[in-house]
Amino acid sequence: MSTIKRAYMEISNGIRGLRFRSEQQSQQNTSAAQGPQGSRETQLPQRFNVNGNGTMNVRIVRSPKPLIARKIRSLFSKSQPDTISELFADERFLSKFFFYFAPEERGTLCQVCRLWKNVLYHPKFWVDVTPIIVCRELSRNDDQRCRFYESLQHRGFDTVCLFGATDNEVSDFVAHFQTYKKQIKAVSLRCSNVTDTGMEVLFKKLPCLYKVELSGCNEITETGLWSCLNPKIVSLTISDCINVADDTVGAIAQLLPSLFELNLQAYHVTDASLAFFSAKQGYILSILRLHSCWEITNHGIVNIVHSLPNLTVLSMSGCSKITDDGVELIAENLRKLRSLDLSWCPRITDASLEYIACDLSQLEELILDRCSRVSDIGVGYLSTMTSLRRLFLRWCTQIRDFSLKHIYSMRNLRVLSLAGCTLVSGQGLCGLTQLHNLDELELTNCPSATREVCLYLRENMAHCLVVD
Amino acid sequence: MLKLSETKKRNIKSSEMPRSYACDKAVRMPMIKLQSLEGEVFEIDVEIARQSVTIKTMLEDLGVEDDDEEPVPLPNVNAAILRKVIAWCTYHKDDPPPPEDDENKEKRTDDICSWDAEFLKVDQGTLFELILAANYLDIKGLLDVTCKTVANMIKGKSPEEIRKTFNIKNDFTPAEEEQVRKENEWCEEK
Repeated sequence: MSTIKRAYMEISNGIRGLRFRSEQQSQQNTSAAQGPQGSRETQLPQRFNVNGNGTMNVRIVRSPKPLIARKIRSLFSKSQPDTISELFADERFLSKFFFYFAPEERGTLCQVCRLWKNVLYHPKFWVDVTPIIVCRELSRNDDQRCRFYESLQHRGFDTVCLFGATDNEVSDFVAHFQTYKKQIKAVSLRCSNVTDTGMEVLFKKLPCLYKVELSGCNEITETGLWSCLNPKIVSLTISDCINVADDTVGAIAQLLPSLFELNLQAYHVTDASLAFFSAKQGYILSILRLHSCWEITNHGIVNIVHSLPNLTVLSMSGCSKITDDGVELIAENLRKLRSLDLSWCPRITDASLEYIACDLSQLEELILDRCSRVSDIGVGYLSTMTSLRRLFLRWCTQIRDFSLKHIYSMRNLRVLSLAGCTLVSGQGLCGLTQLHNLDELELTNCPSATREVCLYLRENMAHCLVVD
Repeated sequence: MLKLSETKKRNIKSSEMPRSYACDKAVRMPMIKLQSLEGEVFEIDVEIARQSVTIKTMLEDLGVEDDDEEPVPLPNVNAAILRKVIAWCTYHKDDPPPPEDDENKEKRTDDICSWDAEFLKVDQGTLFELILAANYLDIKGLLDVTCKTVANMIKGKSPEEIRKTFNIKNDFTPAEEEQVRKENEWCEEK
């Protein structure tokens, strides 16, 4: 008797608590051969009705190993969805199926039916998603608002963005999250009229906050920041807040010893404030981005390299007073830098690139957008950097084919942007196929990146995304 | 059909043969028989069938022997679909085993290979039957590619259209429906 048959026997045994003798099998075989297509159920015993009158002889027989029997039972008698409606109502299947959708798309899926909504309202589907609550669109109805906030808590969001909030709305938000206040780790306030009072409420009532963004909040003053900032904060972003100046940096320096990342965009911050950072911050602060801080000069850089020697990411984008001397200081002192952004610093020349190439041996990313004085010689220096993975030369209008020849030898490049480089030729671009490791190539606004050139590039660099 | 007692009478030493495939012919590809809902039997190479985890587990746990003439019944799969599933498995038999995927990660849907895309250019009914069969037989690669196709099909559709596609009843009250809609009007990825 075949092993399969014996296993089916065991299932039948299990179901009816009886055992068959092996002689029964030969009779059963004939009937089984004729009628297995009777039903689609996984109920197997029906196939083994032996005699015409429905009775069967029962004798004791040695059964197959229990483990095997259990496996067969689980394999073939488990309830499996039979139709497509059943399949798409099966929670286990849906939990995997919903991962084929991006979070924005899952919002629509929540509205299909209650079962789908219940499956989707689980934190695992909303990781890395930030809800942006546009406060003026929030319902006036208390009950509805309450349910809305509940749905946010249910989905386990740990980051929230409040857009256009006032003090009242912030208080309301915090009040609704009281039971789940430990859940919120990051808050972002954008284009809001929140005053110092509102901000204080926010910081005091959300004890686990470690990442804060304040963007376009013009009512916030430095006094407010002095009273709100607490040592738990690890990442702080302040941009476009009109009252922020040197005093803020002073507050940051004193109150945030564990600060790891600071993004500051403030027109009134001067060189002196960059000396405020404490020794402890000097160890921990790794990421510093000073966007469009126009007042910063090379003196500011002197302060940075003295107080923050462990920086790995530095951005001086838009700090238009920086010159080559400043970059020399950066290169000599910040040896751990992995990413350097000097975009929109029009005074940078090829000399800076020489300093960078000589000293920054761990640099992986370099951004030189709109540095219009960078020329082929500078790119020549850069081509000696084996660690460089991402290079951005947008609108460096003096770049010509000679630069491209240097770039061909940069075999470790993964991302390259030559957008707006008007003087490179199509033939030069075609030579970029030598960069076998390139994942992304940006050629927007390049007059020589014609359709033929792009087609050629796409055909010869199959796994590279060519953006035109 | 051979009874167990008869196999013991043969003069083949089991130590000389591969574990499950005692046979008395010189070289023979190990085959397995699968029987569809209607009773039609398909004989295929065991290696191809092992892409189905259900069948593979059964073979490993039972040590099914090769001269076992009894076909494995698959009462949930009809002949036409079984034929298509076998065709897919045959084409993909040399594929590397799919990686242990991270259960909680979003999956792409734009990386279906061209052969699969052609293979799945079928009517909706057949596509749904294939997804059911892949789920029942636990064939990871086929389930993955059919799910991607179905996902692409419903992306961008409104909730009502999705309900129609899968024949799902709308069990929200109007108030609930409005509430859920408002709860999902926003979204931004970090």
